[in-house]
Amino acid sequence: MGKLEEPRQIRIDAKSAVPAYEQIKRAIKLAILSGRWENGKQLMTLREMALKLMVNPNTIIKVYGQLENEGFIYSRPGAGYYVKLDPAKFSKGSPELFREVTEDYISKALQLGYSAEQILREVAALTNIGIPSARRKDHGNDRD
Amino acid sequence: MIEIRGVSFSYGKTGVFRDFSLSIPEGQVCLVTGINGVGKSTLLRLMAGVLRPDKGKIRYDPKLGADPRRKIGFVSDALSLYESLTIAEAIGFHKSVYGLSSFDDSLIQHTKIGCRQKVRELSIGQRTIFHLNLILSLEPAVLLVDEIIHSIDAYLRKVFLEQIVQLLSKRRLTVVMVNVNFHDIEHLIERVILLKSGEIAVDENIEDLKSKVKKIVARNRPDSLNVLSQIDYSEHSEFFVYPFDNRLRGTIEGDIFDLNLTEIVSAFIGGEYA
Amino acid sequence: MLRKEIRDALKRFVESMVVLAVIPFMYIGDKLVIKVGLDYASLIDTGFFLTLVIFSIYAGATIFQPERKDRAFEYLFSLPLTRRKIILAKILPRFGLLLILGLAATIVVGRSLLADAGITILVLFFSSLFLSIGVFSTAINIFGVILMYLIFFQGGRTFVYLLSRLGGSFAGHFGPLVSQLVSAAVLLVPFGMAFWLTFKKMDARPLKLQMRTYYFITLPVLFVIVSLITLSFRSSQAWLLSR
Repeated sequence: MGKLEEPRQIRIDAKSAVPAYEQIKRAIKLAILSGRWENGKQLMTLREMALKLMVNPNTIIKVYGQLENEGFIYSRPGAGYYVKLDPAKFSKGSPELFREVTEDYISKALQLGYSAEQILREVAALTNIGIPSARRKDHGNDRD
Repeated sequence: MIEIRGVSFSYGKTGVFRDFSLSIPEGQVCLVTGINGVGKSTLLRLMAGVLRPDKGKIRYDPKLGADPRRKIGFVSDALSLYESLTIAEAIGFHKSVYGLSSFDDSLIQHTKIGCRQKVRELSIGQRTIFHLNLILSLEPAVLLVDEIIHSIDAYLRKVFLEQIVQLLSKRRLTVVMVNVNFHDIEHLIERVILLKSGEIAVDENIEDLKSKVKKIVARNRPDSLNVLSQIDYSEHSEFFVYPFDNRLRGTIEGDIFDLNLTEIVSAFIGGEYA
Repeated sequence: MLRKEIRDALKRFVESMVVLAVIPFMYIGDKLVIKVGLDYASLIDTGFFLTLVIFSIYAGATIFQPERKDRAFEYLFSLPLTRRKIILAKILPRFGLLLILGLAATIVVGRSLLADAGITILVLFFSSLFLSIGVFSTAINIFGVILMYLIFFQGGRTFVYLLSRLGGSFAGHFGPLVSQLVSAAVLLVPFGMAFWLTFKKMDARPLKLQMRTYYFITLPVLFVIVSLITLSFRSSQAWLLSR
């Protein structure tokens, strides 16, 4: 699975009413649940993350704190934050995130003026071809 | 950290503030904005102690010491310095006044400033960075930054903002920024204060503000909402509303859009110029 | 702050010394060309005296020149320095240099300089200093100092005369020195107060907006003193001549 993906991948949509901390949280959850960030991999420090994203460090504190509470990461005092892959999380976290991601996509597509039918057709076409997201684990159980 | 109580201030006959109060807690990153001339820079200067209120008081957390100016880093748009000093002399002067034993000039290294150059010979960008370096060297507990971000190039701007993020990570730093353009500082800000005619028109934290200010694109004006300003097009208009309530989503005719901070503030200000 | 002010005071000193530098040229010029027969010793005396006068006025008038020229008032007031520290840092080096120069002059010229001109020099320095905050150009400042000097000069005499009208015999005991001192005090104390009160409250607003206290104190005082002098001018002159 290689190295830790750069948080540069995390782009905060300033126009969204979804608060920045929530967006960052989702992006990290996504990275963890999709397997891009391996179990035990160390996250960037609070300071590094804040600098990379140019956000208030308090925001990162909130993000890491909530992720820790929700069981996605754990902290070793003085030694940083690490990914915690709890199999139970798959059934709990994944559908939520999936719905969020789907809602986001659908609302944007609708705004562009496409109909539900067109959207469905597009999704069918794309999933048939196979989107380059091959690194996701097989969550067959919870994709309902 | 800073408490402004019942402050009145005027420049001669021109009144700016009358019985103005504001409280800034420790560790908060605060944005002060509004139309030009509303008093943002004046407010910052009052906080820095460079201007004194005609009436009322400004109180500082005792943590700042007997003279709070020692721990307040203030960069104004005037970039006031002793211009006939050379860079080396200016640094020496600064060190002796603040009692600093060393001076970390890594920030100036980003620009090509020579030690023998006089302050007045610097470009605005160089002078801004120099000023920033000076105030960062005193390890401030409070940073008061006026609109200087606009006068420096994008690279230096990033360097400066990174310094702020570093400081925020390291310590409890209170920041008050005055700006009218926020695309790169938007995610640093926690609280937004909009001044209007010398008073606080809006004082919200940024997340609340984002959920309360929306753009509605429709043919007709939404009558259940307060419209701050609007832009009319041939087929429709854009209405900027505040405060928006999510419960009204179904009842509004038109498309509802979220806004970034610049658009939000423009909506408020646009209403003033209308 | 002190170091910077010392450097500035020295700069003003050197600028004032230009006068002394001219003397050798005058002497040589006279020896070679004009041949008026200038006495070198009295040239030196005059030179020192002039330098003293020029420096005392110039040093006082330029006390805020660095801030004015460099637009640095805002910077100055953002520094953790009390008004007291600032003004002491500004006055002490200038006053110190003045003393040194005065001492040097006294040594060279003789004690007579101190006796005749000591108080005058002090009056020139302090009135220039106290005026500097209220006027906005050095030229007007110098003009103001000349006026103040005249008031001081005439004031001393007027004071002695007025006392004689009131107190009779002990007016005779008032030597010129004491009357000079009192005249200086009467003039400088209100101006000093106006200066300090204005400076204490001063902030980075345009200076013109902050002068109300200053003019409120100094103008009435000037008015009163000048009126007194004017009203009693004839009689005081007559009285002095009769002594």
